[in-house]
Amino acid sequence: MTLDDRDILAEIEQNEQWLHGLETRVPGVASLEHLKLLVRIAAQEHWLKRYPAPDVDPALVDRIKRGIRREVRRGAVSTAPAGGGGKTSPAARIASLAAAAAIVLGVLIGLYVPDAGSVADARSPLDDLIATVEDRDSDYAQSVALLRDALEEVEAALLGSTLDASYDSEFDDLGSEIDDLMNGLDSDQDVSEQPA
Amino acid sequence: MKETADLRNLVERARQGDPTAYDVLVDLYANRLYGFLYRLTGSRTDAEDLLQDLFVRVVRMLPRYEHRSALEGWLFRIATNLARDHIRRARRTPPTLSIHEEPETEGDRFRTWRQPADASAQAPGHRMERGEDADALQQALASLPAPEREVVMLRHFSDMTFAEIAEVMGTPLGTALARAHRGLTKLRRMLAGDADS
Repeated sequence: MTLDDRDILAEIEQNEQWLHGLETRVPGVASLEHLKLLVRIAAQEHWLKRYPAPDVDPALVDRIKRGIRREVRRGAVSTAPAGGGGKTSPAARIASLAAAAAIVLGVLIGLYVPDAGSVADARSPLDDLIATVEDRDSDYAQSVALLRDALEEVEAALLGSTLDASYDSEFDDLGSEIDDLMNGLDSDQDVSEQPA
Repeated sequence: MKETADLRNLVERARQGDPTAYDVLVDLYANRLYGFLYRLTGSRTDAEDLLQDLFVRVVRMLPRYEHRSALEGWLFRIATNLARDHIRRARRTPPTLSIHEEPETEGDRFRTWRQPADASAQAPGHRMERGEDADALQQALASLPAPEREVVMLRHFSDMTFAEIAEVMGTPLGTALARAHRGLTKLRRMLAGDADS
């Protein structure tokens, strides 16, 4: 095969690839099923417009706006609860976060400090911290922020090391799981509200 | 609404604590979120309470919102969770308990947002199951399984695609589509006379 032949073959191959790219894409079976459902839904859903929902009361909108302004002024935008969809009282949320923190601390202590004792040993200072936080400020968001800061300090002191990078996610996951349990064991579990 | 540059700018301003940006967000979404909450709970009073709770969460959580998913999806996800939780509590609440005796909620700090509940709101049976202020659709919705009701209403009130709805619901796309189709078919069957008139 000469150099010219190789050039010609390479050019043919390029042309074939280009032609291949022009082929009509055939949808897969799943896509076809989805398409059928979409068509059926589209044929039905317009009919729902016969039943308009009531509009929101303008007075309520005004109250919400005023409430937001107050909340923004109070600076409550610093911390948000992790995941979970249930409405839980601040005390319950703090308790669940503390329980999650205790579990994480217990696991870490067990892993890194063999003679450090059980999870129960870690509860006493945690309880004190929680009580302090609850007394200091009833604002939930600020309380959680303080609690988490305090827990990080306690953990750093106990372990004598920097916080593991995965701590936040473990903490959040455990908090969410406990929230879910507290919301009951219904089958229709909430989906995460964690901002993406 | 898709994530336009204007919306991103708006969210950024809200994250910085600009109250006028929050005003715009409320104007953009309050009506549809209220309709959605009303259809899921069957009560205007409950929908109003939940709408306020929703914006409490938005104010608290928006600083952590990072535009990786659509804002609208996030808002309707919060609304779905609030409605689910509310319905669970309603199932467990003894029928004699008045609205003023409900357990403390996340929105209690915002109680001053609320006006005193009127007499109709305080009357027992204001929830969807009893259909006091419900139209025919509301009563039909009450008989649907919750996942079907949620998907149909998410589709109706939001501008989300089914792919986005599936993400909000935490289900595969096919599941969301099948639920929507089943739910709509049941609703049409239940409201056949109404719909054909």
